[in-house]
Amino acid sequence: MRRWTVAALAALAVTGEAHAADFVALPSPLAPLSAAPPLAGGATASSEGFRHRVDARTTVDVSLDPDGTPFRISATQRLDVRVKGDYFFTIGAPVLSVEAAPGSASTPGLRAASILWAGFNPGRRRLIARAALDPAAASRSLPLRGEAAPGRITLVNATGVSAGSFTADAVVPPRRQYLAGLAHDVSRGIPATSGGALVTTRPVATKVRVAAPLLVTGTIGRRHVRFVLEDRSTIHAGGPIRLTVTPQDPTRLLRAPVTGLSGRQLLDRATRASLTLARVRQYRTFLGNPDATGKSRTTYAFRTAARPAPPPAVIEHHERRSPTVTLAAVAGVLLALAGAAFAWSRS
Amino acid sequence: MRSVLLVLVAAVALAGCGGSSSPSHRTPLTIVVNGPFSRSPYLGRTIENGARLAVQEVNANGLRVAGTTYELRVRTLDTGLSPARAVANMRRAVGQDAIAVVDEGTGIDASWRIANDAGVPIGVVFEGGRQIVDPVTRPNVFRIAPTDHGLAFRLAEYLIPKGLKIALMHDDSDYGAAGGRALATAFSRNRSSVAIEETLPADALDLGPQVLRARRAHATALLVWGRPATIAAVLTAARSAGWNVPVFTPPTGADPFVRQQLADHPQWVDGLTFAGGRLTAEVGTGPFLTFEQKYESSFGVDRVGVKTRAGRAVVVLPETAMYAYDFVNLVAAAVLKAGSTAPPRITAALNEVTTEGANGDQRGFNRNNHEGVVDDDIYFARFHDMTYAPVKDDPLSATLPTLPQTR
Amino acid sequence: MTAFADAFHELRIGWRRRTTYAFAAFAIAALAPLAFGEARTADLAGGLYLACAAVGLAFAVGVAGLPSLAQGAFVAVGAVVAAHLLAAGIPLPLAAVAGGLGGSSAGGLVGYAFARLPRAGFAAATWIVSWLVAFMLQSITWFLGGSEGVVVGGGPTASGHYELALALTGLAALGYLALARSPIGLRLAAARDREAAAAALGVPVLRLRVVAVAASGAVAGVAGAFAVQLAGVGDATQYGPFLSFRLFVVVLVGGALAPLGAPAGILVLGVLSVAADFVGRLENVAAARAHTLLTAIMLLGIVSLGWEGIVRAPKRRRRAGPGSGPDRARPATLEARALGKAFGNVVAAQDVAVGIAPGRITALVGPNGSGKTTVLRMLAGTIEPDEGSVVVAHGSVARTLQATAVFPTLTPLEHVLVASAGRRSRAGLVRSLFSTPQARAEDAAYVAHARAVLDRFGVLHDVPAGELPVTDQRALMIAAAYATGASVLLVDEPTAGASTVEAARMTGLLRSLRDEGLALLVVEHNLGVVRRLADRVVVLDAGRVIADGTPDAVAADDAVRAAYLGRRSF
Repeated sequence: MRRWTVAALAALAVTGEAHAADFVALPSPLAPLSAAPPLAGGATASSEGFRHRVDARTTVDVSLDPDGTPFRISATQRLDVRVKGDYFFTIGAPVLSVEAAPGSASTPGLRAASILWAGFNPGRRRLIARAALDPAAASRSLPLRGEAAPGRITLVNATGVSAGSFTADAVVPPRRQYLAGLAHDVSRGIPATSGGALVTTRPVATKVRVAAPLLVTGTIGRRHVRFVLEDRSTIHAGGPIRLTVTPQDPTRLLRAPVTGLSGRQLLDRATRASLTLARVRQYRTFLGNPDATGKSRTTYAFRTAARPAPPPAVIEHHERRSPTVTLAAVAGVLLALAGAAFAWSRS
Repeated sequence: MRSVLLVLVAAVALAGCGGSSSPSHRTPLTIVVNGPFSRSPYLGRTIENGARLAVQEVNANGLRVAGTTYELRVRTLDTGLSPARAVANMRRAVGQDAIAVVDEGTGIDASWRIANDAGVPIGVVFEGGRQIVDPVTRPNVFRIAPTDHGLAFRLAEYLIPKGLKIALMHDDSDYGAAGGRALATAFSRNRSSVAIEETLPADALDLGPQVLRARRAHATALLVWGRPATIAAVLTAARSAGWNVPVFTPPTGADPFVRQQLADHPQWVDGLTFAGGRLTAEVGTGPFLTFEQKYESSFGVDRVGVKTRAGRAVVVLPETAMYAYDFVNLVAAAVLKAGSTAPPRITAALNEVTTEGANGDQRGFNRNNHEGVVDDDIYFARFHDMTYAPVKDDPLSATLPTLPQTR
Repeated sequence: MTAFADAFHELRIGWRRRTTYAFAAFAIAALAPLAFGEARTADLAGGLYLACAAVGLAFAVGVAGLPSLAQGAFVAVGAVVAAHLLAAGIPLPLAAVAGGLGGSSAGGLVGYAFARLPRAGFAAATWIVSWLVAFMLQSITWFLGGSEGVVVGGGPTASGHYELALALTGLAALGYLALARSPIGLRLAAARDREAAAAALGVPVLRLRVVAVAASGAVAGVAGAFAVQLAGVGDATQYGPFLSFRLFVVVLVGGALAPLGAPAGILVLGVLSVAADFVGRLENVAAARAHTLLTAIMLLGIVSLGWEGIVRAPKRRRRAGPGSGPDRARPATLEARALGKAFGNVVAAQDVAVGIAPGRITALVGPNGSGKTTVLRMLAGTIEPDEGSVVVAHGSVARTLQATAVFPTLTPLEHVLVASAGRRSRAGLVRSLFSTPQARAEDAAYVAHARAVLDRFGVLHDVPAGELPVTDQRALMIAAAYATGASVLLVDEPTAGASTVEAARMTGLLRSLRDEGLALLVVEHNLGVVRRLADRVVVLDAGRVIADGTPDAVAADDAVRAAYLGRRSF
């Protein structure tokens, strides 16, 4: 905040203009732009006298039909918990089953729409859960969608969302500084914080469409791919898909040259960058992190796989006994009784 | 004159009718406590008291579901430590439309099915055997009590890094035998820590030969899993022979009987370290002390029967009562969550609710885990001057405050 | 079909009002599950299984006179066997059969080990067995899993168990009735009343008692097997000595001589449970302790007041019918040579030779202490001679006792049936239990034969023998000995204490037996009777034969005069 205040005052002094400037808050790079991700409302930690520091790393494995439809989604989330003390974490998710993955210090619990972790952390603890998710509910929050056609597949960045923003004439230097600050924070892996802007005209509400850039690597059939997917891209190739998708920081947006841009243009870029960062942060937190400020990373692995055959229907013979068997049993009993009676009468 | 009196009486009677002071009608809901009241009266009574305390509080706050106010009530049934009677009691409980059963644990292997057929949840608050609880095969059985497996695991985790040569001793009671098996599993990967393994006769008064055998095996610590009498006998045998070896035990080490037996030699109890379920949380002693105060004002103080060197009477902390208390509160929470008093729905809802336990810790179950006291909840405490305090050389125990145990 | 028609006909003839009451009670009891919930029905079913075990015990106590305090142990054996089989997935009917076999084996062992003891000794020994079994169950966890027990799943519902238990109890009662009426039951009753007299009539006392205890053990084992399935767990604490105690009290309270006495006793026990709960609540004592206390007080009361039970023994009516009774005895000869017997330093008999020929009466006389009874016992085979031999050609020997020894609770008819039971070929355990047509036909024929014998001996048929005049009792003893089909009868002092008329009656009876071709040896002090009756006289003195010849020759013998006759003469 201090950076842009000083810059703003300096700018006023330099221009010598006596225009009145209003301060407006920029969209936060932390606030989610939609209900999900993270799934099912994210994660919570029980209120205690202290806060655990948690870094979360999640791998989402998506099994696809040949036509690109997800039929099985599982997520392995590793939580590195620091700070000694009790913990009670609830990770929201449309979870069908969950188990501890190798290396986990304890076993996760399962509740309706959540994964539970409870225990005592002696200083550092690693908690790893492997969860099977409800494909119908989880697939809506996947970042990538594929549209298959003979000989080609179109990959669609599904993270796009229309977000509320505004435009106005803004004082230039603070905007440049803000963008530079964002780029610095991003490069250092520090969570970006929101900022504000000095605008000289009345802000007009707008809608912008933002999407998290996705680094797509892997193969489609025999064709290797590696590119950043911003919107959609058609790959002329066919065959099984083995792609890894990682949400990326909008470095292109942050590092684009700012020379010669007006205050309005810089403001537009800053708001877009903030909103994009917020979007990227959402897709990096596919499953919630109980530490709101902790680091979260998610990697999505899409694989074409054979959908397992449904289990054969259980034929319930025992519920419908054959009349022949019943008759035979009754006849047998009657025969035995008759035999016993005959033996008795002769003894 | 008589007619005037009659009119007055009638008027008073009429005045007493109607009005808004009549008590609201509450539909009763039964919680059955299935405990060993005849064979182990202290244990049975403690469980019953914990349940009753929770019931009092729930009723005072009101349990309202779908427009109906319910009143919990407690019924007790005596198992006499007999599995067959436990089974018969479970039938009775189901017949009495119990919505939940608080059980000491005897005969659960046979009785759970009867409750399960009716969808009635069972909360085991004492027995720690492994096979009792299985969320998959026994979906209606829950436990709030330290498990044998958890205790053994934590004992191993605590003792092995100390580099001690441990004599694993268990008595031949069922409790001791189960503990022996749990210890064997817990120490299976660190056999080098074990100096000797011994089985002790459960009712023996003199365990001198067995303790001597451990000493000759160069044990530098004794881990004794058995009934309180066995622990007292081991301490007597070791200390009277001048052997000040550290002795570690499961929760039975804290049983009043041990201190009563050694009242003439209180110094022999000093240093005895036991593993047990934590009585406090990091929020401090407040929640448990509040619970203890409510317990004692309702049911009186349980005295150990010994005094400290300063002449203060030592009291028993209501641990088992706490577990019964927590389970009843969870049942009440499950009723509200389910929006129903039907036992099967209560059982399902028990997997989804969390309450604050009497010790201030979060208490709850989930679909994968029906244990209310997990391994992480096991702490260690050491005796000094007939009272005990959490040890400082265990990460969890070091965070826990000491509870006052004298009056 | 004739067999069924005959059976139905007999049933109709034998139907009594109490039979109607019993069936009505069972029919009403069968409806109980409709009125009670699952828990109460299970309790009732458990009580009925106890009743079934108690019926088995009633047979041993009431009919056989064996105060068994091990019935709870037999229940435990059945429960242990069945629990392990059921836990292994074996179906309940098979497990129950195995449990019954286990209980039967245990009962047989106990019977074989202790049936020789007097009643107090038997009670003490079986009480110790109960304790031993209880200790074993609690100490050796393999048996019933220690404090957690052996879990037994599946099986019928509580209502199913109730009906099963009711049926089993009814069947047990019918089995009791059938066996009690049968020759097996009669012989056991005879041994219960007077063991020596029964043995003298050829009753295999020890063998039958072993069978009785084994049978009670079998019923207990079956009851234990079903009960453990009902309980859902084999629990060692349920089979302590107190179970045996309770069953014993139930039998005494309800009546040991009636098939439905034990179920009646269980009802009383149920009332006692309610009282115990009340007392327990009043005194803040566990109901279990109050129950034990009240049961013990009840037992003391029963014993001190001589209580015979709520349900009295049913009247026993026996049908006579056509058919061949026992064959007549073949003529036989008894030759005893050089018999000798000493008891410590006392020589009771030395070089005694006696010959008993068919169609003749030999009198054995001598002063008191001359060894007559010892010789008689050696001739009868009751004791083994130290020297010499006894040879019976083509027949068997029966003996009457010196003292008047009838079976006081049996009728004269039953006396004779006991005696003739050894000759029956259709009276085994299975036939008796199931009252087969052949068994019943043989029974009817033997009843007819028995009545004929009694008529011949001039004894009433159907009054308790203990109420007969002494002479009739003596005549009954001889009739019973005759009914055994023995070719040689050894009659000990038949006219002792008899008047002249009564003595004449006895001598007439004995002569008729002689005329029939039997060989008789009569021990007598009445020399006049000897003179009139005997074809030959053997005189004993100090264990030796001092004279052997016709009455006249013996009377004239100086040695006889000197040693025995002295101032007296034939």
